[in-house]
Amino acid sequence: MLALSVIISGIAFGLVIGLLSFVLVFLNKTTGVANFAAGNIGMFETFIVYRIYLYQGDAYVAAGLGLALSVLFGALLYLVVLRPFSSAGTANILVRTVALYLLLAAMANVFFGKQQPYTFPTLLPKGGASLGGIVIAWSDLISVGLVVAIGALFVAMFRFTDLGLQFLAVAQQAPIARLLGVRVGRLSAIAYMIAGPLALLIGLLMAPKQLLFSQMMDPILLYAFAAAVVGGFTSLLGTFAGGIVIGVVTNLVSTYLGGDLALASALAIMLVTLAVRPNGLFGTAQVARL
Amino acid sequence: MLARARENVGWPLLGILVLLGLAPLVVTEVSMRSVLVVAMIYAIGAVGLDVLTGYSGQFSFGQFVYFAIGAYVMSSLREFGGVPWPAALVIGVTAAGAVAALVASALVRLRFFGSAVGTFFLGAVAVDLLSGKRLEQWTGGSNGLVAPPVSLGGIDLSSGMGLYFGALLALTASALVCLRYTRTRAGIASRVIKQNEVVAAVMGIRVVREKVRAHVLAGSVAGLGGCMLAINLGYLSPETFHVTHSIMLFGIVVVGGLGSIGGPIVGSVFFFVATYALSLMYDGVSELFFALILLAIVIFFNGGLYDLGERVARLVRTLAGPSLPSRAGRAGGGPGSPAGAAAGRDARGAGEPQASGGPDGAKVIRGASDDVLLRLEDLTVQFGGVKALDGVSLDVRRGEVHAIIGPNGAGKTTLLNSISGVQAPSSGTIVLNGRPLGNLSVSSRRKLGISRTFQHPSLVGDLDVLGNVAIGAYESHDGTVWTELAGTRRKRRLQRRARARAVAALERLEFPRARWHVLADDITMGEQKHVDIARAMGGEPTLLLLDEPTAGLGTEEIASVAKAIRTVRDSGVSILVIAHHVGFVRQVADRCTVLDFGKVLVCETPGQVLQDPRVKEVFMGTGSRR
Repeated sequence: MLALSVIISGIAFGLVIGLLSFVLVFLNKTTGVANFAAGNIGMFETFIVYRIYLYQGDAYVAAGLGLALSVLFGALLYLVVLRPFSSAGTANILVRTVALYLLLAAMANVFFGKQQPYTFPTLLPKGGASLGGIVIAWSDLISVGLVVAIGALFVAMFRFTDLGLQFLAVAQQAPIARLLGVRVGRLSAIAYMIAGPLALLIGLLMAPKQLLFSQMMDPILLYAFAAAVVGGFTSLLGTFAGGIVIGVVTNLVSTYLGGDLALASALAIMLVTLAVRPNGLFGTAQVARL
Repeated sequence: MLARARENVGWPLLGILVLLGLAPLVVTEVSMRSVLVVAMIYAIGAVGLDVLTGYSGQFSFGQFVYFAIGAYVMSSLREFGGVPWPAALVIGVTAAGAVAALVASALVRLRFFGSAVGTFFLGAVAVDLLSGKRLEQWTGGSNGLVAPPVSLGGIDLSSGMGLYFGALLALTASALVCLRYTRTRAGIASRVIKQNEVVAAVMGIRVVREKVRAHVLAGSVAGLGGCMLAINLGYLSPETFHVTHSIMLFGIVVVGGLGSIGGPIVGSVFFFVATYALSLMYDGVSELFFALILLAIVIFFNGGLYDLGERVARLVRTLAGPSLPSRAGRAGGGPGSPAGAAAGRDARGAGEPQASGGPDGAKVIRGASDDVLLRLEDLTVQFGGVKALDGVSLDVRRGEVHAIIGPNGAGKTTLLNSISGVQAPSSGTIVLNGRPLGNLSVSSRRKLGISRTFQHPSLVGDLDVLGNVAIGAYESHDGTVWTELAGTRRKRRLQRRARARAVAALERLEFPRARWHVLADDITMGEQKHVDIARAMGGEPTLLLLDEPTAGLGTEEIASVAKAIRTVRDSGVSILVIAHHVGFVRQVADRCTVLDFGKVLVCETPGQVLQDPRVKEVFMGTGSRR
């Protein structure tokens, strides 16, 4: 019974991991670099929401305002950090995201005080439904629903809109998409405007459970990388499957073997996947050109 | 990549170390001195990370794993094993190196993000394991572990001047070891890998092993840094080794300047002094300040503080007097050139009998249809549904120049990739000298005498011409970090021979000696093609594969490449060359094969081929083809 409820909450957590993993892969595909700061972007935005909440008292209004602001925040980060001199190569851009990771953590520490961690107001209803003796928390259920809805929205966007088609084209072959008239720079900016609110959503789902502090996203960022590898780093929706695998396994490991092995087990899954199935569960082989 | 790797960094490094040695004369404040001590301890690991990132092109966001291993192994051996501290230190460093070897041999094989994510992950896992209960017996868990003070001959090394100069000594050792490594074969081979892994593999460099070696070196010196950190702190807790410190260390290397050895030391001193000064004025802004500096440097000023220093030095030099700019000075002939010339003469003497047998013999048998060096039978390469090569059969005779022509997408480069082992064929056989190559690796094929060049030469831009050719001329790329560093007699002999072969190859192609010491970034496209051919010749091949040696060249340069190819053929090497330029094909080729849509259209002498109506159709689109 315990195992089953651990698995169920693992699936819920896994889908949140999957969402961050999706953000990583999405940014990697559209901008060429997996953003190390993706988690901390969400953390910082959650702090902003927390500030707004303290100011006016309604958590839902704060979250709504925050989501709107996070679109701008994403665009701002892209324009200030990633856009200038972006021809410097992927290694350079990768280091920029690492610098951004440090910067956001430092900014959170300086601007939002040293009294961390904070308790964050719960946005989702408490309690849960009892289903044959297993209690499923409403919050888990709702977060699963949210992530599934977002996944469906993206599938719809990729399938039915021009924008989605352009994203897929850039993801497949950025140089060719550019030649065919896709404005890659503008598309990258849009990608960050999408990533901003998604990162905030992850923060809002995580913060009530595990408090709000500047390093809150470190573990889930690592889980998300592992999930991306398991799902196949090239597969956008495979990330959710990867997230579920990582979420369930780490939940089981930390329940039965101890929390200090949770990260290690995720690392192990990642390494085993790369050894056995280098392209992950859903990825496709990459062909390099000489 | 991030920044160029430099070679002439010995003097600046010495200057930085001497300044650090003299610093206590000026810095009398005790707290400031201890800031410098911490800076030097971080720098011990930072120079290793520079070898890994600046010279080898790999990332590590988890170097504090090795700091932790050094610190904890040393301290717990002393605490629980009663081992004297010098022995414990050596074991700590060795353990860090050993773990680095183990970790790296798994991580460097990862295809998507190399070691960046893996090391980051490991950094976080290590902190979890250190604070958890599993290793508590040895690490003290989250309570931490005492690291007792050390002394040597009555001098206390855990505080005051003893600590300061102990840290400086450790830093000097680490910096010199790293500096030496960048000058060994392994260090230069790493730079080829940083440039292009496939090119490196074709040159016989063991890509995975070479990357692991760089990790071992970086891990070992980080282990030494950890030991010094233990001596400095006197007490270890898991938080000391948090993954944020690893990322900070990476930031320090970038701010100081990648690929300079001395730069990361400057970066470390800058970081700790600046944060100390800031913390005196404002509380808690030091991290913010550093992150901003790091971001600004990565966006606007790639080279870091070291590059800034170089520019200032150059400015001072030009202002001081009308002397030549530094690069021209190097071009005039560095200190290495007289020795190189001598080695070249030796090599010529040694190679003479063999070489003189080559051309004459070759001329006689050239065109003889029965003396086949390379035979392809029914070779097919499939990418998904596309057949890049579709049942190609052809042969290359001993001593001939065989040209491959064909429109774009005909499968020419795929053909070369299959022969050199870069691309595994779906079916068919490749036979060299009567021996089927099967699925031999790139490096084994090279040992059998197959060398190749690339459409884009991929020379190491920050290495000079001779260096680029020499690294392609090694007979063996085996060994360990330690044999490389020790410079064993075998290693020195290999190095001498590679250099001699490089000199011989450059002389054979009549590459002007005045240009041998120019950086590859500064030579013309035509020269790059020559250097690429010379580099392939350094492996003393029997079969040379050239991928479009004339692409992007002007008429005169094409003529010069044609001359080089004839010279190579006359020395007894058979050549398979992809070409686009009809005049060039007429000039150099004995026979010519036309590929179209992965199939052999025709194989005749160039004159006959260019008259063939089918060939005209393919190239000029006259008439209906299918």
